[in-house]
Amino acid sequence: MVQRKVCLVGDFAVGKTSLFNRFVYNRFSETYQSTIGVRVQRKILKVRDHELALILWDTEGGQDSTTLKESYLKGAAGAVIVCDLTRTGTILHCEEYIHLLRRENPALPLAIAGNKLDLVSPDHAHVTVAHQVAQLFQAPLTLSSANLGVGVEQLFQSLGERLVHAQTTI
Amino acid sequence: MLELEQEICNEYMIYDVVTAGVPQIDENVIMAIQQHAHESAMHQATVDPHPAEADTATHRQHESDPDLALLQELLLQAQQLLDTEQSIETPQQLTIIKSDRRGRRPMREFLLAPEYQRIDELEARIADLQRQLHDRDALIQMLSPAISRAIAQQVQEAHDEMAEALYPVIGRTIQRAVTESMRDLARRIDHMMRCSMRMFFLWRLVLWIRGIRPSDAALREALPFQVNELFLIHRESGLLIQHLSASATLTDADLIASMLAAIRAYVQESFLPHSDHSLDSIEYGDMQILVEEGPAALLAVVVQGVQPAGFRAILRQQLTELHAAYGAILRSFQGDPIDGAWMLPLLQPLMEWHDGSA
Ligand SMILES: Nc1nc2c(ncn2[C@@H]2O[C@H](COP(=O)(O)OP(=O)(O)OP(=O)(O)O)[C@@H](O)[C@H]2O)c(=O)[nH]1
Ligand SMILES: [Mg+2]
Repeated sequence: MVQRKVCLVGDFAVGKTSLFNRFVYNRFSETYQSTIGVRVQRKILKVRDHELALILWDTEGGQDSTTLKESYLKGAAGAVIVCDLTRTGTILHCEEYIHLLRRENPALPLAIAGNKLDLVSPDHAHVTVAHQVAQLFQAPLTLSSANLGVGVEQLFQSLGERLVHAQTTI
Repeated sequence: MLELEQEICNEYMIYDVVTAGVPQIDENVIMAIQQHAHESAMHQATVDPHPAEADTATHRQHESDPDLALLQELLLQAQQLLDTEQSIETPQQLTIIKSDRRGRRPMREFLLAPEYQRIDELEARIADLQRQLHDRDALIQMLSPAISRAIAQQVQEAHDEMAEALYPVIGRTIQRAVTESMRDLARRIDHMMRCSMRMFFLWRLVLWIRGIRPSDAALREALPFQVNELFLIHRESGLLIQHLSASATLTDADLIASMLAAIRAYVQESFLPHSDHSLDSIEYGDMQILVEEGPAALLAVVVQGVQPAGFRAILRQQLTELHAAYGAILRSFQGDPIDGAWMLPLLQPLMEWHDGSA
């Protein structure tokens, strides 16, 4: 089976682990348990009649991208940059994560998740900012709610499809 | 005279001490005291406007007062009675009827001294118990002798149940300890036998010279060693390139390979950030994961039992040969399945490795 390593990055408490848990186990918890180091799980995706094993690396978030351990990113075929639609800083920090991820491989497939959609209205100023950042850095934005399970499948599915044929990693 | 009267008034008249049974107080004594004290009190109330003068008067009267001798006698008797009362052990035997409220404390304390003392002791004990109940350490200290005795008794009376309950803990601990000491023994012997000889008599001679008992050497030969799993892992991504298993029951080999890579990355980042060393083995129970690192791929084997001498060197050698022959393929691995037939000749022998292999 085709395997691809995908990293989840973003500031602390934006909902990386929540998206990971919703996607892999279809569960959600209100309580915040900060990730220490990294967690790994596998999820099989169906991409155009083929099976793809996504090996997800859920990393520990910090204040910004400077605390991200680059050794966790090695060999990744793609990444999901997660921001919290209720915190502007986490949206603006996406730029740094994008630079970090594209430094080794400018063509690396990326996806931005604007998470906690259930806490903001669709026309909230933060949503507009998230769209602008995504457009500026040419990374598709998916609005998601790990809480309600909105946009999560779609986020990983669209990334998965781009991964199968992209032949380069970091 | 007035002082004495006052004392009597304060102490004796106020209580009628009635004994229930023992000891017998002479009723005449009590009545005499009461009457005398009553008269004196009346006398004091009418004749004593200036206590200071009365005091000197008292001194003067002492020798000539005819009542004094009687009063002293009575006091002596009362004192003796009180002495016997004090020696009464059980307070139930004593009934005290209060006939006046003034100044009764000294008498009560005197009479009830043993009870007060016991109350004080009991209060102290209750306070101590309360403190022990709230202080975890003290509570443990208080309870542990009883618990130890109960456990000891339980072990004696129901050792089958106890053994069953403790087995999961003790069994594993013993298993680990035995494996550990076997490993030690094997390492010691290996160390002494580095240059062992094949020929039997020479071998026995070597054992004898090196001070190894033949039974130990035979045991070392017989120790079970097995390679359960083998993972060839892409170094950068942690993705699984090839997996061989002795049992074919493992279904999550790809996940395990990635987890192993993540653990290594975590240990490296957290504990060895600026070092060339990295995690090269993980132990759990009597299992061990040995990891050898090559430029493009890692070789991880899960082994059970005592590692034969030189096994690590063999791992390294096979990994080096693999890189020499197929380095380019290993480096360019992206996660797409590959036909691993070409690497089997190098990996398969590791799965069948045992002491005799060379
Ligand atoms: N309402 C709402 N809360 C969310 C959502 N996603 C995550 N949360 C909450 O946000 C908090 C942080 O979520 P995590 O998933 O642990 O965040 P993280 O990014 O993994 O954090 P670190 O591991 O510290 O980097 C938790 O209390 C979650 O319950 C969401 O979509 N909606
Ligand atoms: Mg997390």
